[in-house]
Amino acid sequence: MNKMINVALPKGRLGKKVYDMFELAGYECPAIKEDNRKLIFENEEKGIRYFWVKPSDVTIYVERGAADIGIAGKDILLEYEPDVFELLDLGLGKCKMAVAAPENIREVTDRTLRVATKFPNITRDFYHKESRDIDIINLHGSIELAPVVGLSDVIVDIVETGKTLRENHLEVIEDVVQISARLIANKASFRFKTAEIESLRDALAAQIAPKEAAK
Amino acid sequence: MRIDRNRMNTEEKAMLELHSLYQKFGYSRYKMGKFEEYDLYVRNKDFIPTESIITFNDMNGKLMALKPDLTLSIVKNYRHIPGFVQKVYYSENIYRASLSAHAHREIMQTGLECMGDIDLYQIFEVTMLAARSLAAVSSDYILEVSHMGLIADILHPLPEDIKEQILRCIGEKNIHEIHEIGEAHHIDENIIRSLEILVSTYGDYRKVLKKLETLPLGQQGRQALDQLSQVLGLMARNKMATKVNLDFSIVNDLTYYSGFLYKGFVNGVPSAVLSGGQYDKLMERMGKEGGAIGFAVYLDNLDRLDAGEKNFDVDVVFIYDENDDMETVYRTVRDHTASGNSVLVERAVPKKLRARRVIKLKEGEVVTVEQND
Repeated sequence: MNKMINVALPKGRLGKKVYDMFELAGYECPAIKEDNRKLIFENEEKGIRYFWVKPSDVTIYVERGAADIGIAGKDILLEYEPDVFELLDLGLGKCKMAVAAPENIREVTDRTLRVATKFPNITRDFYHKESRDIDIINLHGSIELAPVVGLSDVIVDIVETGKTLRENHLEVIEDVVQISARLIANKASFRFKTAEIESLRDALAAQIAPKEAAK
Repeated sequence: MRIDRNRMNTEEKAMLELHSLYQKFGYSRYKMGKFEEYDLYVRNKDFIPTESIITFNDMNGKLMALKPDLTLSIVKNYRHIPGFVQKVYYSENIYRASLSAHAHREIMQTGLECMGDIDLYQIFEVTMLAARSLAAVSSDYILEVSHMGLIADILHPLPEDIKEQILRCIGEKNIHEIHEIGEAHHIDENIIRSLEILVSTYGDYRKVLKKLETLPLGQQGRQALDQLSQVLGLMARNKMATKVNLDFSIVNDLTYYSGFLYKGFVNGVPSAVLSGGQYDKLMERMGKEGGAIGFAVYLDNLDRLDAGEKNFDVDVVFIYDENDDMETVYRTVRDHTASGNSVLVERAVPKKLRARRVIKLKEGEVVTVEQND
């Protein structure tokens, strides 16, 4: 009998898109689409169990083995550096991490740059490579507000369409890194459930190739 | 008194088994203190997988550290005798920072080091002991073996910073990012293809070696494949290779490690319980002659294997009061312990305690008040 695979899915829009990929790959669990507040869904016949977890917690569930595999954004992987395998770029949830500043403001070079962000590690690494002295202001939401009210000079945040930036009169001044959703696996689970995880990875990969080719 | 192994948890049993195993193969115990001069870790910063070390000043003002690693202290005191190897094992606590908890942790580590004029037999023996160490912890284990010589050979033509990025990707089985790095830095397609094969080929050593034979390797790479084939072949002929896999996602710092690398997993523990390898380059950096190979077993993770096994906290709870004859109470307790039961003597059953049986004295006779199995 196949071994049960535990999958940590990120709650929200991305998670739903990812689940559709799993469904198309033959790992369906219809109960997940019912409108309720359950967090765990299982299809014993297919050997799969899904959990809905907060997107930034996916890596924790996978690294600590509560989930065998999971879907996490590259931003979360770069920020927390979990000790996991990164098996596949799903090509979903594509966006970028960028530095944004108020429109038409001169770049600050004569003093320590104040940077507001939800991603202090990525920010630290980025400016370290540029040898800039920075003061990181770690916020948990509404990052765009920081430069508007004078809390910071710039922000480092995820930019999808750029609409929020424009509405707050901010503009991207530098790209940090491209982001998309990745399939990750616990390093011990991968060893004991190799065949099951490989089949799942290959079934998902088969859906990505045609999409890339269609571009 | 005989030690009842059934009452030990996996960690305690494993420690005794490992000590006995290492002694059987001529390893002698290396007892260490908890402190080491901080300077040792500064000089070999990247050898230790922790950024934060607990430091303090000793009575003379010298900066000391609570040991985050044991290998460096053993190597520091090693003296080379040509033609010989020194075989030692240890069981000590180390102190490392846990990134997720933002705090330091005390970790119990048992392991061995074989230092000196290392040859293929010594490498085989350490590999075999790594597999047997895992078997002592659980029958459901996997020992993953890798070889830095092969990885170094493939990465050889690349600049240092690119090597570092690609090593990280190999460790993550991250083929898509290797392609991205290859494109961004115009790396020779043959190297990228070799890396793709290296990352995507793992499992049974015969199958993996056969595939890797097709790679365009230099002398260092060929030598690595030959060593792997000889050592794992000898393991297989002695029926010890069924749970040993080749997996090159086991990588480590190129500045310290040169040959075999190990990671061991047991089913039920979400992270590696064994880690090690051949670190000839560390010996060289520390001004020591000869090579060295060893591994450590992380015993603190093994408690996960015990969960759910224990139905009762104690076999017998003996309820007594001040009127009971102490002589009779003790005689009853002694009879129970002699027959292998654990006995807790109390005035009442503690809340939430799960006892197999509760007894007390009634008119001088032992009576059972509660039987739970």
